[in-house]
Amino acid sequence: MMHWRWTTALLFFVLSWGLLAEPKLEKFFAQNCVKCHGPEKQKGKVRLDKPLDVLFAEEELLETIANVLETGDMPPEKAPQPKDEAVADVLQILEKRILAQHQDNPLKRLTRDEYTHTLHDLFGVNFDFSGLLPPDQVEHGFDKFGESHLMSPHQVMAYLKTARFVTERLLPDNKPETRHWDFNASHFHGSKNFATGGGGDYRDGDDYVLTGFRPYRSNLHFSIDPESHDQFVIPAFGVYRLEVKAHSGKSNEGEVIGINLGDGRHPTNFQMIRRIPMPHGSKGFTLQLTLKAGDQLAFTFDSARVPGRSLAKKPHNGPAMRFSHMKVTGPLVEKWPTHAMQVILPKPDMKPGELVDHLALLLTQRPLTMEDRAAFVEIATRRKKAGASVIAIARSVLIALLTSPHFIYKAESPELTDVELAHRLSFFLWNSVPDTSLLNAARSGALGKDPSAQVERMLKDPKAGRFIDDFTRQWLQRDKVDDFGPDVRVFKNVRRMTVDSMGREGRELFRHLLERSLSMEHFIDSDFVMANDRLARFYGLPAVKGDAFVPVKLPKGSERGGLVAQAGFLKLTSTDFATSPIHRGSWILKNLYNENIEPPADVVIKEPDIRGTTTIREAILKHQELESCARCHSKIDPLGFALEFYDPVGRKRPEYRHVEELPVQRDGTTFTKKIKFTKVPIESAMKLPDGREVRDLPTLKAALMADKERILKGIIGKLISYAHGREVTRADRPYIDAVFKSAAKQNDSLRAAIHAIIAHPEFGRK
Amino acid sequence: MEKFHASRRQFLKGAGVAIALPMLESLPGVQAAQKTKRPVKRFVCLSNNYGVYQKAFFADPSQMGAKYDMPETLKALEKHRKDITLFQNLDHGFTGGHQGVPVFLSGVRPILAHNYAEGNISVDQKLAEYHGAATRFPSMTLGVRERNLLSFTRTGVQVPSIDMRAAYRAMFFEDTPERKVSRTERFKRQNSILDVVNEQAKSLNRGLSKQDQHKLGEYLDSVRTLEQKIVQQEPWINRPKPKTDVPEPNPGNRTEDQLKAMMEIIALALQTDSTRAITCVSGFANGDFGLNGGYHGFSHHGERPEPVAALKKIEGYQIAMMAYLIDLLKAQEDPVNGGTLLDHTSILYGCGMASGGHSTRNLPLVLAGGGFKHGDHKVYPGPLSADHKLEPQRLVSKERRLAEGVSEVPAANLLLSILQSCGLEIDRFGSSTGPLTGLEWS
Repeated sequence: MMHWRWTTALLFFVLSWGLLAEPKLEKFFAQNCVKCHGPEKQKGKVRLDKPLDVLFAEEELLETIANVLETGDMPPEKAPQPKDEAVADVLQILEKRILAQHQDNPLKRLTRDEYTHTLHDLFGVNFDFSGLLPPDQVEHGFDKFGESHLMSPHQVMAYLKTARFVTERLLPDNKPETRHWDFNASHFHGSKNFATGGGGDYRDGDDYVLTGFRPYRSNLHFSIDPESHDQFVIPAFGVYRLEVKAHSGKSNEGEVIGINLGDGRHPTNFQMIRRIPMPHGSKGFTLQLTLKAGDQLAFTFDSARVPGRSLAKKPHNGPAMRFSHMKVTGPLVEKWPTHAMQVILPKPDMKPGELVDHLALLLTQRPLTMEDRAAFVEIATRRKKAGASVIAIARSVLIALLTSPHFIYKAESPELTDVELAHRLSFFLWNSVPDTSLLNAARSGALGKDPSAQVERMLKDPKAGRFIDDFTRQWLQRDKVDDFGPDVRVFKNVRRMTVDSMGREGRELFRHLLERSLSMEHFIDSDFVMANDRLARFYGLPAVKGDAFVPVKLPKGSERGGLVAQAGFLKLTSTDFATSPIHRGSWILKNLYNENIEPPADVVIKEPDIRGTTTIREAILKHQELESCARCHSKIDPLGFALEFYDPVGRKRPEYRHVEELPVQRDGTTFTKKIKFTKVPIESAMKLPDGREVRDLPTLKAALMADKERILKGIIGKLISYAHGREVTRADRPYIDAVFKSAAKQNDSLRAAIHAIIAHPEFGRK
Repeated sequence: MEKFHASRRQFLKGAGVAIALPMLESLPGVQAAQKTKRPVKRFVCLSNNYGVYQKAFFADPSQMGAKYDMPETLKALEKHRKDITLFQNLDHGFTGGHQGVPVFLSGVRPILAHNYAEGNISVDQKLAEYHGAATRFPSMTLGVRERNLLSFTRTGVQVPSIDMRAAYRAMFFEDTPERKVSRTERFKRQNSILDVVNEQAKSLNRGLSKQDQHKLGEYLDSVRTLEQKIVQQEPWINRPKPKTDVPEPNPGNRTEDQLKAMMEIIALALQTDSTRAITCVSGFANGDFGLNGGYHGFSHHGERPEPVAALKKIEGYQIAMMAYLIDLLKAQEDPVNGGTLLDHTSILYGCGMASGGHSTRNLPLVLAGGGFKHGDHKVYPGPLSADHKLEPQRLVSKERRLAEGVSEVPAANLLLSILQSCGLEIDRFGSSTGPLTGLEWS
């Protein structure tokens, strides 16, 4: 009843307000827009000579109109310009309309990450579902958007298979037998001498030695029988302990060993699962891994140099990793019945109904309705009649529950209930379901009143690392840093582990700011960077010991600091041998300003023929010749060009070095490739649309710093988008503004911003 | 299982690979085909993710018909000239660079899929639906050093791809009797679980908004489709798998070797009637063909000689492998229909992005086999003219298509023709306007 009245009132308000606004808007569009977006032309496929109620129904269009009016992008420069007051009036009308819009937030399902962590938190078992569940689509930056969560028979089948995989391993019929295996150099195999400038993998006395990093070709694997070459295969699912004796020779620093799964002999499906830093002087390592039946282990020497392609055999003088012994023990059974079995079957003899209620509550934190419950109880009863053991019955019920929409989907009410709020918070900060303490706080109403105590507790929990990792991976595209090159002919000294460290820097900065409650301003510019041994050396900073990241104060005159000075970003936005100013500029707009820039619908994407142009600048500025391109490229290009003094791997360069490969000279079986470099000066200075000139990294950072408020709001928008699983729109401005103001009171602290997001009433709405 | 006699074995001699013929008469697909007397047709798509270097790929547009000079990249197909058709001026009629790649076999962009009755279903998945459980695998989505982005179900979900060893094992490794029993039981149990979760939605639905109910509806549709599929596929558990003399593939690490081995696997899959719809996308890894660099990098060649030469080498090899597959299928008698396998298998080479320069106009397309009347270089009326009457269902503004210079004839017409030639009684597919004029088949 209340609800009905409220809707009517709103409807009445909208209608009456719409009538008032109509003449003003229509007049404005007719005078300023319809010439190009009307009956004669429909530039950008946009038409504005429609009745206002039709126009108002197109939410995205309204947003676009408001955006181009606000930035002054439309009407275009050449066209007659409306008065500022008129634009402001129209903007106000549009803004009101947009704020009244309903935010679209379609039903979301668990992402693969969320599914994995949820099972870990419920049952204490580490599963890797990368081979079972399909990867999630990333929509506008985040895989958490319900909009992109499609469902298909394949996906349902994947859930079914995964559920079976999980239950069979959580609830085995018999206690697995723990075994152990010993391997020494006689059981070790490598790829011998790959034809790469000497070195290779070889047996040397009691050691087996790896000298190069070539994940698909050079690895160490093991056979049980020294005579045969059949690779050691993990016999059953479980936790295995690996005790490895290995040390590095001819090395003055820490090295890194990679642990991989896959057939080391024919590595077509090789997968790196873990990297083990070996500090200088280390004699080996011990670790526990969750492995499944059929897995095959292999080691790589990840910090070694990538061998060249030359066929000449030269003695190897670089670091070498010497493996002498490995002991494998598993599957380890700490106690029987296991923790997971006790969680699933807390009492030995549970009746079907009791079992279903217990498991449903465990998985979904909500009781099932009576009609849903019946079907699950039916499964259990039927299995019981057929004489199945309690364990087998629990398996069947668990498979059904894990495949059911109750578990897979995150249903949310328009105003979140207390338990739903706990879920949103927990999926935000832990990528998983809430724990008992959070659920209790939710049910007692404490969470709804003041979430700050819970948020503090959750951020201090190691599980918050999942948020830091997952959010920065998607926001900064850290996982794509290693996608391209670099071209080994030009960037000879960039090793794999340096690139790996570049991918971690953004995450470590985020972690540091969050843990120390530091200002988000450090994302724009900073007087320190987060670095480990390799990255500090790469940046030419005072030496850091070890693989872990620590804050390093920047020396005077250093241009580093801030996200745009990170090698990871600079490499990510380059190809294997060339920088891409367009990519760099648009990355800054999309990920710092949180602008939604996509090529307009009617733009012809066609790369110009760049023969005859002598510089990258000339080639790219061709884009700006077209009016439709210039609208965005006048914003993108200056930001990107200012970074041209940084090469594709993020090192400072005084000029371009163009590479040319000279014809190959054959000398027997030896190839000698010659590379010719030509130097071309860099011309980077350009004016931003508002007239400010940027010409290098310091001036770029100064320009970004001048936009500090917009950028911090952009970053807050990204956090909101991730937390809610939807895009942010103009309608979220009051929300973002409130969070910004609240954080500003605490020195723009990242931690305060996260607190403010969660404390805002909007966080409790669908 | 009864062993088949040596006299029944047939070998692919000319092609240099020996494939033993299994007992096919026992397969239900073959029996069904023999009953209806309609030939069973198959489809193979060979593709890449970066388009081609167009200047070396297309024949001179003035040389229409049978007398054309074989373009540089297609040289390896010279010996099959009578069994192939080249096309010009066919495309999917939209712009969007890399977004064209997953559109290749549907003609429908994923974001516009909701405007089409069958969404952006791809040719191979349409065929998979058509053949249903006639073969052990409704379709095979394969990749060599590359992600295969081509296959989409009618719900718009990408079909995941498998590598060649997984394909080989699935086709030829026989399950143990115990495993067969447990699989049958599992199938039954899976279906009863699906029954249960299907019931769940009723109560959930009530609490949800309309939009969310739609989302949940997607889930329920998927559950129902999956139930049907499980029922269809169940008999295959106990049917014996075909036998082969070809050992499990174990190619080296070079893309060259892997792609060649993949062609042999494809021939084997068709010959044993394990599947009738295959897509295979090939890529490139730094170091292959003695080239240094990345495929994507090369494709943005800007007409510089070094990457252009690299592209010609990579694409030339892909075409050579198409020629090799034609060799294999020509030399092999079709176990289901008689004639050669090539007579009843369409092989389509192409990509939904025309070139590395992000152009989606004038797609590279070569068609072989499948009973089509081949031998010609077919040049269709070039870019759309301003007075052309627009087909409403193509959903792309005419202005935009004029600006890009996209073609008058949709490439989806070719896809429709292929489907019709495979026996599907349909008159529209994706963004097609009708079957491709001038392309005939028997």
